[in-house]
Amino acid sequence: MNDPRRLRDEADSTVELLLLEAGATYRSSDNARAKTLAALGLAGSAAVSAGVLSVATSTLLGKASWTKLLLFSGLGATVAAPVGYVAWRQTHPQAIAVTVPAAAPRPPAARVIAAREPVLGAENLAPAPAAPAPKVESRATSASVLAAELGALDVVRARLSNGDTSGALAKLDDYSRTYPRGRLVLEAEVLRIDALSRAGQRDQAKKRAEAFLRRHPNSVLATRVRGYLD
Amino acid sequence: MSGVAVAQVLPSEGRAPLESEIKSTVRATDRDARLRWMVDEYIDFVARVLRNAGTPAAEVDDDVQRTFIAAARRLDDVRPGAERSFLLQTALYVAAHARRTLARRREVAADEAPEQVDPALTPEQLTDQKRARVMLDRVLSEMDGDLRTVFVLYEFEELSMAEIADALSIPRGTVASRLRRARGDFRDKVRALGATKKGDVSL
Repeated sequence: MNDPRRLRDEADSTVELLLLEAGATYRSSDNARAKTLAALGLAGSAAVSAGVLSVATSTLLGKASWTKLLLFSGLGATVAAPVGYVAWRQTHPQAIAVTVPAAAPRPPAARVIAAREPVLGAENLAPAPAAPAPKVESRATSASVLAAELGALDVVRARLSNGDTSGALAKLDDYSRTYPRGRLVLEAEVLRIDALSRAGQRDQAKKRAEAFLRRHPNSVLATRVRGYLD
Repeated sequence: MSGVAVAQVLPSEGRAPLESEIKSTVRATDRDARLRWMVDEYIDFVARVLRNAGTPAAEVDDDVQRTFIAAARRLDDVRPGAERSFLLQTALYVAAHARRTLARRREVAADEAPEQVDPALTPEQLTDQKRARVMLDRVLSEMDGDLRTVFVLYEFEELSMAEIADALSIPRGTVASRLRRARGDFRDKVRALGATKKGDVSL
């Protein structure tokens, strides 16, 4: 039984093709990636090295020396000790043989539009409007701020993993002052609850955990926070 | 293991690290590397599956996190090489939960105005991708769930029918049958939008 041709190869209207392409070209946002990395405790180096914040890379390169970037990257990769994820490790202590495929297949969607454009012709598909320069710059700035936020939380995790709870709390105070409306404020709050709990301030940790759950009962982080109520 | 990582396991009082301490750190670093690779490689895939399987746009970011957190929790059970398949099954589960939640919310707020789409849009107007996305959401939301899943995996993710059969644990003949019906349904619904102009694509 042979697989039939994809519908995009035999679309019977422009509308049908546009809808199919809309489905195939959907992408995650920078925000989703940053929050996922933060939630897994994989922030910092991963964000930079994987090109998550690629828009900001040229900006960052202009401002930081290679030594600093390498140091940042290396420390992020080895020092980050994910809060909560540590607990998962404790429940799954068995060793695993890790095989990371060298070259995984890329999702097919990226090539869709490029492949179709010559067939359709410009008269049927309006050309994508060129992004105005200020918008690109703004996105780069936004991405570099996000990278800085991730880096700040990495430092907090490093302090926590070394048992330096007062240092971690001080760094969280710095984060709150620097990014009062940061995009990772929820992740920072969970780290604060964890730091308070580890510092023996369990009542304070519990109060903050209750407040967090009142405000964000459906948050992805809620399950982790509930662990501090007991 | 890098020098920095080795330094992490050196006890502060200066004694040599125990073998178990070193192994523990190696395991943690390996797990982190594997997880990080999964995020880098598959986050777009996961987001797309979630979105096309019915997760509302506003909830995709959270559900992407949920999918990867689930993967992290069960990382030891995921066979190397089967990461994509595991993430796919998890994302479909998470999306199904999101759809059920959305349906309950709509029942509660029955008078909530549904998302309106102008059925008389021309293809030119549809070139705005956001608008196309809204239209696609409408078409997909009206499809039967089982048909929709097969359609999305075949047409958007370009999985083979055999891969879909494996992922959904159903016979390949069932995949073929659902795909045939899903395509017919999809085309009928697109035509019903009133914007289709036969023959306007020279293929």
